[in-house]
Amino acid sequence: MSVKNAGPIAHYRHLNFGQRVVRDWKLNKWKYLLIIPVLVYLALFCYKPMYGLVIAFKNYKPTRGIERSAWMDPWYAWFEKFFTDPYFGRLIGNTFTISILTIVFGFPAPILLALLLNEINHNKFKRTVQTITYMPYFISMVVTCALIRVYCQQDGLLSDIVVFFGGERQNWLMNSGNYRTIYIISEIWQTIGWNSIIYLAALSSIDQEQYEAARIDGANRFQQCLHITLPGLMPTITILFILRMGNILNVGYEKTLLLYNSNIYDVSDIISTYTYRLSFGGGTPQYSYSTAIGLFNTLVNVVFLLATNFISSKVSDSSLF
Amino acid sequence: MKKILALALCLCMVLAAVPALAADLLPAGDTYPLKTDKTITWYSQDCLNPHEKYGNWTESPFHTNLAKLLGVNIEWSFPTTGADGSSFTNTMMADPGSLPNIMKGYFMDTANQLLEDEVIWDLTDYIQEYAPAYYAWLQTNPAYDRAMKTDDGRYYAFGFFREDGGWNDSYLGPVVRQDWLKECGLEVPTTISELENVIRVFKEKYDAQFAFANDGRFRQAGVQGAFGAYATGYVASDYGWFVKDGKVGFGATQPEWREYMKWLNKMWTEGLIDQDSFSLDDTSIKAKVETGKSGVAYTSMGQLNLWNKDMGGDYWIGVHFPTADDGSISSQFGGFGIGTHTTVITKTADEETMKLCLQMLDYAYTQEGFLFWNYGIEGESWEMSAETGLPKWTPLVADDHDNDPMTKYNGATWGNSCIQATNLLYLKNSQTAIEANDAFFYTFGKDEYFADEAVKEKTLAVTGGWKWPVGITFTTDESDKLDLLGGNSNLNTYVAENYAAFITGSKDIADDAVWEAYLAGFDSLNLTKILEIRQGALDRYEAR
Amino acid sequence: MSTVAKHIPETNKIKKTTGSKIFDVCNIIFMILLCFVTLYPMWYVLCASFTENSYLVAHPGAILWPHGFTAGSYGLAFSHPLLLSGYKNILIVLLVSLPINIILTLFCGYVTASKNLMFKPVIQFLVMFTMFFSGGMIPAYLNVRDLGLYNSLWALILPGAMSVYNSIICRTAIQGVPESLTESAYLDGANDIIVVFRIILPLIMPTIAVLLLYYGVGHWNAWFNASLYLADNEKLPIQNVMRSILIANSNVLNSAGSDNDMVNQYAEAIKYSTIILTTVPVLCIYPFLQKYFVKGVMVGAVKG
Repeated sequence: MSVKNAGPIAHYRHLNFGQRVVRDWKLNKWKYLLIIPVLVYLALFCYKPMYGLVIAFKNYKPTRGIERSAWMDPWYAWFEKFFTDPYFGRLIGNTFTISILTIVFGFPAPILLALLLNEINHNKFKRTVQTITYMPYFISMVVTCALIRVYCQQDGLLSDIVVFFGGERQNWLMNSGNYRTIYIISEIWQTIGWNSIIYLAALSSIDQEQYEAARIDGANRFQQCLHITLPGLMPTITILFILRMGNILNVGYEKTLLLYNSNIYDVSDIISTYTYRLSFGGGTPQYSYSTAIGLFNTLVNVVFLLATNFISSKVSDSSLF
Repeated sequence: MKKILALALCLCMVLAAVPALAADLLPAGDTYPLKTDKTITWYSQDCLNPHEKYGNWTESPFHTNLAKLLGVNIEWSFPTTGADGSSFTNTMMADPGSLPNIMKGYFMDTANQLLEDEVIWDLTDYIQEYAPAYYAWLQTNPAYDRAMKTDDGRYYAFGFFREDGGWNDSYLGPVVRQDWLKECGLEVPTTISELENVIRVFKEKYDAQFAFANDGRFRQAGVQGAFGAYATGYVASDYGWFVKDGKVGFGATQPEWREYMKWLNKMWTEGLIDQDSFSLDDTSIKAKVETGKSGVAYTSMGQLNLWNKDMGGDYWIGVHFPTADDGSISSQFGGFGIGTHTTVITKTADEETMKLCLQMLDYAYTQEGFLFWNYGIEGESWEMSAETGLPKWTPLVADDHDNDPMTKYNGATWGNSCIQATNLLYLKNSQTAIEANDAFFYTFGKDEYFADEAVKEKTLAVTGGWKWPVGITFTTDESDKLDLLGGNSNLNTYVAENYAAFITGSKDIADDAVWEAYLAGFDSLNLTKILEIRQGALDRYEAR
Repeated sequence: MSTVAKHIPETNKIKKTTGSKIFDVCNIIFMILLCFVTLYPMWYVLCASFTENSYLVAHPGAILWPHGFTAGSYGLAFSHPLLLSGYKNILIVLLVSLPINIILTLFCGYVTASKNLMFKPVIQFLVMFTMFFSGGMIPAYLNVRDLGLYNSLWALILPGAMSVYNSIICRTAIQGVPESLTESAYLDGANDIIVVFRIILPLIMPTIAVLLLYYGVGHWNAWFNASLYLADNEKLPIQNVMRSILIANSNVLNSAGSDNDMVNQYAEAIKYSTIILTTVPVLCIYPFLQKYFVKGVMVGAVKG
């Protein structure tokens, strides 16, 4: 996970461009051959459809195709519409809130689990815990949310528990105050074990001699964790964090759609559910408008990604690019 | 089975009282089979999928029989199972060059643009020659004819019509536990106060609440009619709009609607409405009603049937939509007996193929085709009943215990290009379900409906008359404007959200300031401009 | 420090302090609680799938064991004509996809990890850019039709043949391989293909195992593309079939009214049995791959 590529051509400054290309080809011919299938894939399935983003500036009608659909006048009309949309502020606010809460609580959780698992000496127990905690990840979103809704209803599990402790029955998803908590906790439930896998894999590659050396120096377990394990995990954590920040506005619509109802729109409606409703919520689908919102979404994400990457490369020396 | 047959028999006798069956009006279809070796591709969005028992349409009797009777090879396609039908159609439309020849889906909104862009055929010049039966059918009722063409009189689609003229469009309504009514010595409720009283007594005695499956059902049209309101705000499916004296109105801004909200709010805060109601669907509401957690509910005749079947007796009955205490009612769930789905012929068919498609589609509106689409092949799935002179199932269908076994052989389900026989609905549904539908539809009494023309008119005005008509088309320019104004989607969000907030009390509906602020919110949603555009479209429709 | 514990368990135990012991106990209690919270919903599903429908309808709250044991809902689920073809299709997709996924990811990870490549910044940019920009649903659909993949299982395999995110994970793992190993291979006259498959691949096996899981689970749970790109029900993968079973039961078709109401005596229980049927196969595969993480292949290789 190093990082900051040493300028590949630094040593060959005396050669002109053509000579450098020839030299590079001679040295790295096989590498270029290896990357060809990847580039072909990207060209066919990523770059070719990317042309479709122009519909954000057009009034796209499926039957007219991209080319024959008329340009918007002014070209930014859909964006203007979004910025003046009565729900603009709320959508942005909710999306950020849910995303940041998920990062604050959801991102450290698997790291913590990996560290705690790492402290367990009993191998069989450790493996069992690992095997159990990853399981929810394999339960698809539709199923998970269906279960959450079953548990949250008036006569459901959650009410049963609350009544046992002397509380009142209610439908827990009908109350704006509960929604975010339910969302975040279920998110952690779903992903904690799975996301810890990558950290456990990284832990397994930490040089064991370091621990022995630390023990000889008299470091206790907490100190070992702090000075060896965490720094060993840091590159992985950083990369995953940067990537996560690059998705700050990508709160999955699937889960929200399955959980929310009109009574808690004020806290649950997010950009992606809004665009989903534009395309599939009944009525004529507004592909152009939702593409424009999607593009805005992407741009915000990229800004966050670049910013995090920049800060990270200054502070910790590990970065994505 | 005997029971069902017996039921069917007596129902048929009831029906015999209804004059002029569609079948008698239709011309004979003696030009079939057509004898061609062409293969026609035919796509159907919902409701014509092969029965769930079949892996695909090649095994389905209806689909294969239709091809045989028409004498044309048909290659069927449907949205894949579990896929959202309208998104599947929308994605297909993105590739106009490879569309199936015949397509069924929702095309009314965009008909003008589809014609302009030459995606579908303008049938005006061909319809009389190649689809005479259908053309004749449209002429029997000006409402039918108006719904199936554009403002400038271009025919473009084959529609779905109910022979009953709208009776079964009121398949949703309030339902009550009749055994509890008896136990408590209560009358069947007819006014809103009576209904409220029943809910209260049930709450007290059985700790049962009023339950409804919110999004799909209650919000389209609930019991707002008792308050003089017209639509409850399910804007997404055009239920938010109403027409009164030729003027388009928006349901969720009327003062009457506010009164309705106040009532629901009162019921909610007093614990009379089930808290899960906003997230209930047909399955979860079933759990409530079958375990005595609800004694008054709002559902479809089919669901009611299912509840009774599960509970093992006629516990639930349909009741009239409640009126105000003075007996007046402004609106209720209902329709015109015309489907919003239509069948069109796309430009992937050349002129000759298009003519063939017209003839194929026309079959459903001939006497023979009417019988086939409704019942399947005579002698196979149905035979004529000597007593009633109407078709009845053979044991092949009657003894089949699969879900809706008749759909293996017939195709007259909602939205398909055909005329649905009322007799079919009677054959398909149980007595309680039929009675429930009667209760939903004949708000002012069934006998009165047939005896008194004024009552009939009143009933039709309340059930379908207030609704945004089927078949209105927007011009391309209008759809573009609506898209930019935000259209239904934003309005739907706004209303749904406030509807819930008013009912649960998180916004105080009684507070005038809250109500004013709510109304002011419609400004930024461009309601006035949207109403103007809709008014224009409606005026052109009326002028057709 | 599990791996340490394996090598020198004695020394580790002797050195334990009281604080350390308390921590261990708390840690274990926490883990047990976590397992309970994780397992209960699954236990609930399992019990519910065997429970009488009537009981389930009346008591949606806590369930600790099956009430009125019946396997009827499983019979019903299996009688669905598409269930077996669904399993078959997803297996085909997995068998064809996974090798393609891994090879492309490995190549991409390897090239972006290597140094002294003149055009690496360009390649890197081309790869990373796709992570943040995409054409959206309609262009992707048109593309699939253009390429003639419509209504074939290739439409589920090729468009997602490589995930850039995964290639970054792979790159990171490859960067962890000591350069000396590849250098010496070059000196022995190996080309990059040999290096990738003979040297890199065995060394990053734990990462590959993780990637296999990432891709595999992704394919297993995906349904949206299949619902747009396929036209024949017989070609649908299992998730779409399951969705149709679940949706057919909840019957949300708006205006179809009574025509589509389904009669089903296992309406509630069948949901849970289909969940079991579609989840258990995946759960069974994981323990086999899990070995790789525990073995710590990497550590051994570096030391050896």
